[in-house]
Amino acid sequence: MTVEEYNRTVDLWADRLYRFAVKLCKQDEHLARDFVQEAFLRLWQRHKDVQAPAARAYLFTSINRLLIDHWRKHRRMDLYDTVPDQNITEDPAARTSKLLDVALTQLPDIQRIVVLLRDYESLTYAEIGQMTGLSEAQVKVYIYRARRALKNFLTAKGISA
Amino acid sequence: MINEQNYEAWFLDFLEGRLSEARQQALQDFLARHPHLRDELEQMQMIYLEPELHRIPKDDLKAPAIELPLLDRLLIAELEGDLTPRERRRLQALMQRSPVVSRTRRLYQMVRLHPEDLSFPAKDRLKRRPVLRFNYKVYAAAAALVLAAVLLFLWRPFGPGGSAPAVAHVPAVEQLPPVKPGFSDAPNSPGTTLSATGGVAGADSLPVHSRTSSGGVVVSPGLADEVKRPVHRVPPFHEAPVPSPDRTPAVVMAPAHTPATSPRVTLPSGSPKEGGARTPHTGITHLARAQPAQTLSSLTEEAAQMALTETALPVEPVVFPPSEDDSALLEAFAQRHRQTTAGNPLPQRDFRVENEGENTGLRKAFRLLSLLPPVNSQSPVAALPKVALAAIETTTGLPTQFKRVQTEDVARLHVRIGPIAFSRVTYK
Repeated sequence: MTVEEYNRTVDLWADRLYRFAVKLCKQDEHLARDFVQEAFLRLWQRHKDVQAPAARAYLFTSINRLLIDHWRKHRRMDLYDTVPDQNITEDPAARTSKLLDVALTQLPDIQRIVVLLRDYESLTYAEIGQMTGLSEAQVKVYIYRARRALKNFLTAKGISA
Repeated sequence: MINEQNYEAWFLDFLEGRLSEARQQALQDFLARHPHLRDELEQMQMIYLEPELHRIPKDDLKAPAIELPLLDRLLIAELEGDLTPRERRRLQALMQRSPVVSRTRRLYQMVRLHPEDLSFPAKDRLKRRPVLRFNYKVYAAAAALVLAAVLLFLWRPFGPGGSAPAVAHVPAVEQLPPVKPGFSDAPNSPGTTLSATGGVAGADSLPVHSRTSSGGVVVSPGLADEVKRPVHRVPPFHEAPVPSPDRTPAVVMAPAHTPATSPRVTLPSGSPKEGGARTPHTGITHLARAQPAQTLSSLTEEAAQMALTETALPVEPVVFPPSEDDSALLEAFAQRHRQTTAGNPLPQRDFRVENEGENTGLRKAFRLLSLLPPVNSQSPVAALPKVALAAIETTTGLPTQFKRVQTEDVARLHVRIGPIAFSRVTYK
């Protein structure tokens, strides 16, 4: 990857990587920013070996590993159950969105990763598996479980169709 | 027939159920005759492998099952686009049967996540600038060309009298001081070892033999060799000016290491030749008229030396317009220093440099310093060559440090000048 291709990769993927990281970091934007910078730094250090089309997978793989390492080091220091419901607006659509954010934080880490990759990046099971080191079947199971958990959370919070 | 030599095999066959009835009877008869072996048979019966102990956890090998209720599984599969035609028909049938299915389906449609409109706040900081690799060899070649041109300009094969090429017999010192690398602020610095190709009218002809005070003879190389080498020209004695007291000594760039190949002139004993306006101090010749040549040749030697000894790092080219005013550079350096030291500036006189001649090294040094970022910045800046640091050290009196750490991925450059530290990190 040339320097120009690397800079183009920054333009293409920095924002999406950041959104993904923010969600995974439970809205901690500073932490997400650090992870994004670190992921791009790793890409730069390997930019001669990484081809431009593979940059996206490299970035998301890097950030997944960074996050998993971070969680292992700071286990249980997260924000589970700390988002108060009363702050959630009464607008139905916005309320649902906020509740989903809360529900997302309560998912197991790996489920949160795969469902975000699926929804934010529209990746296939195989692509997600490649980035997370899971088999396609495992990815599918985690996504299904995550969907059901999210739906049950909404139901428990009184959201109905 | 069973006997005491083969009874173990019979025991095994018995335990595995492979003995016929006749043989089983023979075994029982044998045990009756040898009752002490019955215990052995019973012990063998107790030895067996527990298959449960070696069970492979098959659940780990199987594909994970989606243990969800049928309705949830179908609705999520629809959301994920995984429905087979058969499952789709089944789901439609379920939806027609109960309105609860439709409501649950709508609920599942809501759990698809949508990215927020977030932008990375410092995207430009992630980008990299193309690094122009500076080839020291090119630099050395250019320096060599300049050096050759200067030598051609300065070298006069015939002295003022038009005689044969002459080399001065310089007055001797009792003992030459050791070679001191670094700078010579000319008039009063003992210990400077000089190379000489200059001539004096009426001087002896080549080859030049200079006699040392200890009686040794140093044979100077021929002029042809002198032209090939970077040399320092020493003006004839009669041309050497007496330094005026109001004049600040010129700062002269000199190589940090005296090249081993440089011709060395040993100052012979005896009185100076005619016209030789010697300076009061022993053995030191003024460089006033020779400063441009000395400065430039020193720099080019240093550049060539660096080209041979240092690993080329990717650096940005820095342009030094010849007309650039050194005072602006000095002011920039002083200003940067004041910023860095947060109101604790060194006195301005510490930065005073008498820039006479083509002090390219100093110009370059200060130019680079004015461009350097504060401590620990990772902005790419040009690398400071050692010669420039040496200039700083000599002219400001500040100690300097220069360190390069180069790994497979990262090249780090650490420069310290007095209280100011600079570092540069280049990711490959």
